[in-house]
Amino acid sequence: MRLRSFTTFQPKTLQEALFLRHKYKRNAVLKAGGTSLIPEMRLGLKKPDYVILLDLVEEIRVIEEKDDGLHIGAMASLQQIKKAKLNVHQSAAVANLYGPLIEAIDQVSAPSMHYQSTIGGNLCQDTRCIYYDQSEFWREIKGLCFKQGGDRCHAVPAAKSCHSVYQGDLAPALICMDAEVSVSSPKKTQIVKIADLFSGNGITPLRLPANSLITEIIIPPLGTKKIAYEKLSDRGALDYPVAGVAAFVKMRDGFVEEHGFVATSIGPAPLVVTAPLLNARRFDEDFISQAAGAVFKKARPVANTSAAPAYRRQMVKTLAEKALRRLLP
Amino acid sequence: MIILKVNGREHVLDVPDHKTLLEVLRGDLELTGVKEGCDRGECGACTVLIDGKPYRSCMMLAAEAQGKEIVTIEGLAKNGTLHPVQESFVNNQGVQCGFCTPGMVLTASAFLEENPKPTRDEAAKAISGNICRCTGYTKIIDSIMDASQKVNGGVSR
Repeated sequence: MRLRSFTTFQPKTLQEALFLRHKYKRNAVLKAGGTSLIPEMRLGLKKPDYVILLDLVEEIRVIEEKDDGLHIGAMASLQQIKKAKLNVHQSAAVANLYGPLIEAIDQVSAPSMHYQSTIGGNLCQDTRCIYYDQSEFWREIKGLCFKQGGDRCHAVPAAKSCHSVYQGDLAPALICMDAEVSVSSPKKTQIVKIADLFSGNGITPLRLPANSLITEIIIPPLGTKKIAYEKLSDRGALDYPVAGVAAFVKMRDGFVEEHGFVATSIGPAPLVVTAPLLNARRFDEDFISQAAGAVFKKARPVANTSAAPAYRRQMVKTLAEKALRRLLP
Repeated sequence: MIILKVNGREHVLDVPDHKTLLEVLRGDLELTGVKEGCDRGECGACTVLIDGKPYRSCMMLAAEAQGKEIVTIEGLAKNGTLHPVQESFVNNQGVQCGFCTPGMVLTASAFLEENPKPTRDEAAKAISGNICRCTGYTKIIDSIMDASQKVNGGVSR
């Protein structure tokens, strides 16, 4: 399938990219690696007049280790991050951050795609739905859904809003790590927690002004926090998650001080589940089963992927248990 | 106007902005060893090497490949001598219908540059982004392992 015609810009500096972003706003799309954008454009889901190619903006590709954590340029490829792990690190506190991040990266698509895919692109991927990621012909016959500017949701016929699903593999781990993004627009730069980046609205899943772009991802040192990500997918590679759960645990004097989960492929935004503990808890099977039960309770997947909602909900619990179990001391 | 350096030769091309690298390589430069499979990044048949790394040419615009060294399967053999990975695919029946082969060979050759002595599992993971619909994976992995022995002078894990 050929791409519809559009005009491209290839800025060399962030300033130039922001100028173009500001000038063309929603008429333009940003292309990072393009591994989800290009298929979406082929399906006519996005029909931009302008495409801003970010591949030459070197300043947002840099990976830096600083006192306040790891700063990863939004255009850094996943492979570049895997390689950076092998470098000499500024401190053990920053070196620690690569482990859980790369564990999540290893779950993204396939290793040969990691040269092209970028961390910023992965984070900003659009939500998906079996009734949306289809050819234009197919969609027209079915009738336009909310995400295409229509008046219905095929996945949940009684719904009043879009129920598409966010399926990114990196957001769960990054949210567990308390990571932030730096969002630049021509006049200002803001630091936003990744957890707050998602709107929960399937039509516009990201809270990003039309004239802005994400320049870097900032991951603060973990301290005593431990993180694990578990993904279930139909295929072992090149696949979006049926469900994915990242879990984190913070221990103090042999007891669980803090814990939580972030699930992906459940709703239009990553699902964050934290339950404050009233008493110090031993980290044992009892605790694992009870904690994972809380994710099961909150997860409300709908019929918008290849797997049935009830199955996905059950699997979220199983994955939460698996992830926590890996963190047992 | 864009200038692409493909298999060591520079080409000046007048192509519209929305043309992918795949379309330019196959259509304008007639390098039909680059295969168009799924056209959505799921099969790896359109893999080419950009500065020695595997990239899916269906998801890259031609403009993005400017200033880079592009190598297609046509450019992998040097002076009539097959690349060790190509030779191993021939000798180990790593080719069935042949459609996935260019992508497999290029992905494998880039992988062996990074990891010259892989285990079988590592080799299998490396090509997990390339789909062979003949399902001839066992022979493909045999071929990669054989090539790794060759480039390491007969030593392998």
